[in-house]
Amino acid sequence: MRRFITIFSLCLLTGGVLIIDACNKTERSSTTLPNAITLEVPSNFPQPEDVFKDNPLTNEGFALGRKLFYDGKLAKDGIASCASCHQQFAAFSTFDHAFSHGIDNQFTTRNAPGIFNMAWHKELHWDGGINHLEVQPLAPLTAPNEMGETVENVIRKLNSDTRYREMFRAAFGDENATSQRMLKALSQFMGMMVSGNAKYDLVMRGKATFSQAEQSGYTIFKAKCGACHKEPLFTDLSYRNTGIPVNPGLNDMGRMRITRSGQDSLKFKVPSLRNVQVTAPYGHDGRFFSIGAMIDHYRLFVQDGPTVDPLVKRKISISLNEKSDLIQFLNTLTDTVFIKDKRFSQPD
Amino acid sequence: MKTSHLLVLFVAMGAVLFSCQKEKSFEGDSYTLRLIFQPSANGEPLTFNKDYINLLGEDYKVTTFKFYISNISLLQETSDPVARKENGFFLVDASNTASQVIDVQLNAVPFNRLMFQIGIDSIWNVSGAQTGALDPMNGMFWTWNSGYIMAKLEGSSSLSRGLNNTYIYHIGGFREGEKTQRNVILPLPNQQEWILERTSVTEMVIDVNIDKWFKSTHDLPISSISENMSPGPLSVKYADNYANMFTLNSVLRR
Repeated sequence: MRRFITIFSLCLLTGGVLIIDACNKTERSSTTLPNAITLEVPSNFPQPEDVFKDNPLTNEGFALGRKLFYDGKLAKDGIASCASCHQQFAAFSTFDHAFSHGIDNQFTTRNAPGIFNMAWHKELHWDGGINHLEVQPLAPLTAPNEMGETVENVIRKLNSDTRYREMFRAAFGDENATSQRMLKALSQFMGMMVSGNAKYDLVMRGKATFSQAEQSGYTIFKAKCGACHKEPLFTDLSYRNTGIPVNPGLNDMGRMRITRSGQDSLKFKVPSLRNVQVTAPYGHDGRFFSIGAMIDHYRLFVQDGPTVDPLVKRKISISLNEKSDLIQFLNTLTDTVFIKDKRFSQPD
Repeated sequence: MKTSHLLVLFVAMGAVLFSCQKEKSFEGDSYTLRLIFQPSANGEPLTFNKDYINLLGEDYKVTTFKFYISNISLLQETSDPVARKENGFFLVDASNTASQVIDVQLNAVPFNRLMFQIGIDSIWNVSGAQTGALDPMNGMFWTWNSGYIMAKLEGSSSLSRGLNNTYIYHIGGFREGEKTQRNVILPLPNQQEWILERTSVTEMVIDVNIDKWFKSTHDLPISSISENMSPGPLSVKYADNYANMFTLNSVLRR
């Protein structure tokens, strides 16, 4: 009797497991399941947003996202890819360009931001118009001056490519390319880009020490910059007007375009200063071509206005010596491990 | 002892089975309700590019007309649904007859009113990439300001100041203060009580009168507004108007 109960219990448990499995909504018809991977959270970082709640990270999903990210096929002209404007050596910003090139020799109207630590961002774009990492690629894909393509066409192109069909099968169970799968794969690739191995991070983890100038720069940074460029992400993810006069050719009102509130006029998302050394030029329209010019803006050129942030309204007093130390410190935010990480480079 | 052991397992099994059904909040058998949405203008079925006159006396033609339907529910005495289709999203497109016929499975409970929502609940506007009716491929998703376009009307009018006399209305917005989702409640004729049956399909034909888009709660003349393509106060006004477009034409069993 005891044996019978044991066997019966085992059957029930197995049945239970099968039922639990049947509850799982994402059906996978392939025999080999994709291999799960995890987001690395540096020990000096807070917990990320729940970006991957409905998008389990897998090697195969990530690999698909990587291929998509580097593929010009996604654009109308078959050339422009995500990586055209988001270059790894520039921490996935556009090197040395205020504006990036879209299809047909067109320019974008804002400076391409770097891509890293995306899993910590609730909203994306300079104006915060995008409310989830998964839907972000739709903006450059469909913007007429960026990749200029329709979602429908992109999906058609992917479905007629055998290599992609294999990769969709490996990542999602069958070879059907859908916009949802494409966007989830891209989200996996970009969301996995974590930059947390700069000299600054090593110092924070007790594995390196700042030079005297860097240490002095860090003290100045904390006193004069850290309120908005908050550690350890070096942004507080808020929107602020830093007194950059409006560019009459663009008339870009920033956050106001999204909220339609006059209080948000000329406010832009505080950019992270991580990798700042390699992401020049600076500002939402890329008008500052060096870190020194950017600091000089706060020292000397802030233009006051009704929505200018109280923290910069009266400019920031930074001496030339302090400026020099500040730059030394900012250079410790360059993460060479990240910008050389083979996982994020162009696939073969 | 051994019996109680078994009992515990049975209870555990029951819990597992029950947890699978978490999305089905209404009990009972479910049968088919078919909604047929019939876009119309000037009291006749809509024909694209045909001249109509709206309730403000303006001439207009239609080239595109699409809207989302969700949360299809049945009401009895109160506004609390006695049956409801959870997470069912349907994109009705005047250019695609098949999209105008919506079949849902609902519980066989007495009801006297039909309720549905125009638009998509806020949560689905902020939850990343979706599929099916919510696929951004359908052109009903704002790529620069994440969120669904709940309804879309495009066409032309001699009074439009838009490019080539066209008008374009993309209506959306899900945040507090700029919501464009609207519930529509349609009573059955003569307040009759109805119940879905196994042996037949209940078919409801719903007239969607585009004339009211321009004038019902608000006057929204084409001559002064030829374009609206973002959330905000104007989208809210169009939403107030589109909530009035729907009337129940007939209910019958097939």
